Amino acid sequence: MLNKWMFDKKKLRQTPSQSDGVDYLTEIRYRKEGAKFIQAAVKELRLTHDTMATGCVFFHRFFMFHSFEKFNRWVMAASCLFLAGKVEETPKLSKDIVRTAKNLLGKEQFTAFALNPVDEMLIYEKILLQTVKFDFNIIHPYKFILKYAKQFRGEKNRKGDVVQMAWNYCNESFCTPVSLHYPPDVIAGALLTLSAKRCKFNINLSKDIEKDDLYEQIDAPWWGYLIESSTTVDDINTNLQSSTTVDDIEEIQNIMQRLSEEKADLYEDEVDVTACDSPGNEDNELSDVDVEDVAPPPPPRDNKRHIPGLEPSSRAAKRAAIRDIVPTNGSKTDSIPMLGEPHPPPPPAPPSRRRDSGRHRENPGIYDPTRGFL
Amino acid sequence: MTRTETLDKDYSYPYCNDVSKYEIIFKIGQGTFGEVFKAKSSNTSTSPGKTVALKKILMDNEQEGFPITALREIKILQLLRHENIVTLHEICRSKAQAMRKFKPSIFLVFEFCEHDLAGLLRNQEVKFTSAEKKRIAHQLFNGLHYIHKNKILHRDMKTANILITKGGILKLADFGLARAFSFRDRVKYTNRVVTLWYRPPELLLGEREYGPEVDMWGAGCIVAELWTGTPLMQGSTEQEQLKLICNFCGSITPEVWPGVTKLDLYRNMQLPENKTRKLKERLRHFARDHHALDLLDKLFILDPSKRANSEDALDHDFFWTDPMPAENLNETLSKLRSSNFDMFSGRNNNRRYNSHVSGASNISHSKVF
Repeated sequence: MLNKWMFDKKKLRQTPSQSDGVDYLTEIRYRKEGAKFIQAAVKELRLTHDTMATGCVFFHRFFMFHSFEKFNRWVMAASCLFLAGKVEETPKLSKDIVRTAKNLLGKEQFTAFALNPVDEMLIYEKILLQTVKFDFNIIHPYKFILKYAKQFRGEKNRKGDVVQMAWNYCNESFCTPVSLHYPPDVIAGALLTLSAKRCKFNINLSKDIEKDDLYEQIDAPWWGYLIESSTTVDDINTNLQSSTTVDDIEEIQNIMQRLSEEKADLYEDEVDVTACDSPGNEDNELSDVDVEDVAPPPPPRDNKRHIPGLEPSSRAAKRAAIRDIVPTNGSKTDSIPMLGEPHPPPPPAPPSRRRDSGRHRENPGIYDPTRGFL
Repeated sequence: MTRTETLDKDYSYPYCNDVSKYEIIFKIGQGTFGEVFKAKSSNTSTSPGKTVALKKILMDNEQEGFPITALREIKILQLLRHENIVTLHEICRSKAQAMRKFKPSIFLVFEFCEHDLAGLLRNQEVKFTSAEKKRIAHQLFNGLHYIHKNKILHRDMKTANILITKGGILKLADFGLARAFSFRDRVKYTNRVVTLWYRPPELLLGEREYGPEVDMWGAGCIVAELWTGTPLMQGSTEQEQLKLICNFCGSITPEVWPGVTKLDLYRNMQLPENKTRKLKERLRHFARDHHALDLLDKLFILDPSKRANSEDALDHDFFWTDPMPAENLNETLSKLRSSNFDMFSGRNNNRRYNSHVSGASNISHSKVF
């Protein structure tokens, strides 16, 4: 069942939207905008990270079959969230979803919801359901992050840092179509490896586990890569059962890396996705992950943005948060502009620098009457 | 043209077949959230002539879109694959048509089972042997063991939801009230589940942090019904149901059930005092097998924490002493000329039972598409 939803990267350049004349970069931007909107709404409605993730996955899957030209991305994003709420047992009333959308979106964007917003969203839901094949059992990388990190040997706090960072990367990854290309365990592995590198944390395995057991226990093809330092490459290859290769893992890492490099530029438009949940609050009925061994992650240092003169909770800030940056004309053609800003940024930039970074920005930004040009 | 129709016409759904690939034979009943039809795949389909059950999803509460109950059933059945769990083949759609106000319907396509246990038990012609009763009970606990191991609660155990194929394979069906649960931290659920006659005492007393024990109580009711032929405790209100339970299982007191006083409704409900447990005494007339009585005794334990779980039930001597569970149900089922669904849809002669048989409504051959 999983394979049906895994797409070759070429496919992302032959989508229905692109047949309708939407160019690749624009599509990537639309996808990101939709995901950002879902994340902001999830935060607003206090839903779980699973709901956010499922909503985003629905969104990405849907637009592999339908065009952004025919389906408004805001309405579809709202519909994805509405359905994800029901799927993940965190249901919200349709009118609450619509109200949240109205709060988060600009007036112009909200006009897509037509005269009767609830009805419009429900029509979209029906089409969404039939497109995603009523496939409601979606597994996200979060549980694998916890499961794998449990096997790390090291100081609890440092382990917690790695987990928190991987967790935030994971939130961010849903703004990209990465979930269309890789299974969740591979994504989790790549994000953990990257986070460990960033945190200068050396991944060693718990002593009491035999390596052979581990492969069975963890059932993760990327694991061999992760413990490369302590084993030989041959070992890894014999243990790789899936077709996932080290290249794939590197690719996910590259995406996330680029994300964090763009971070400085995009800082002011950042959405605080950590609020979607942190691993400490993991409450997944179906998962048998025991969280206890993972140290509760430290409170994210950079959780609150202090944009001078703006209450982060104000409506304008929220709108700004989900509104996207207009891509520049081919200035970054080959880099992946879909990427958002992982959180927290390593290392956290002091507030004063953020203002400056705006000057170096290639993007002109969008005019926002409450803030002037960004 | 309405907007729905426009949208519906214009798009193809690669993963969602049109229900016209099946031909409806007739309506067989009404589940928790929709009508159920017997149908067979039309000659043009890849597997022509396959009989299936189509469950049409009612979209009553239009405000909240696709019903969460249907969604849970789909989600859960996609996870479960077991001989004793009904198989969900696929999900189909019907086209939006003017006569249906442009509202496309969604159909769940299940494997077809000829019988349901409720129908078999009320059929005078059906007399299961002891070995066959064991076979049925064993399959029931097998199914329950599988779903509980996968952290799913059925929450609507009753004979109408127990299907039996003509080959004698039992299938748990109707997961419309089912939910995932967690052993580690019990989340609060609604206690307004399970058909009254099969509802365990803890739910009647307002417990919201329950677990697989609720299904085990219902399983006890079902197993007892194999001998009695009619539902054991047929209360008409929750109060009356509790009274019947006390008369049957003995009074509900903190001595037999520590912690019962903490339940929300413990003080609000009238609980008969000084009742002795008459379970074995009353069931002895029906079931002479003392192992059967002992198993029922363990399933009807008032305190949910002491009640037998599915593993205990499967390990019980009842299933491991002569007569051993039968290999199949052919001895009885082969004598039946037709499925009980055929019978009651053909002639309406069982209509008086309809009120408690899966809420089956009056049978009509109305056109559905």
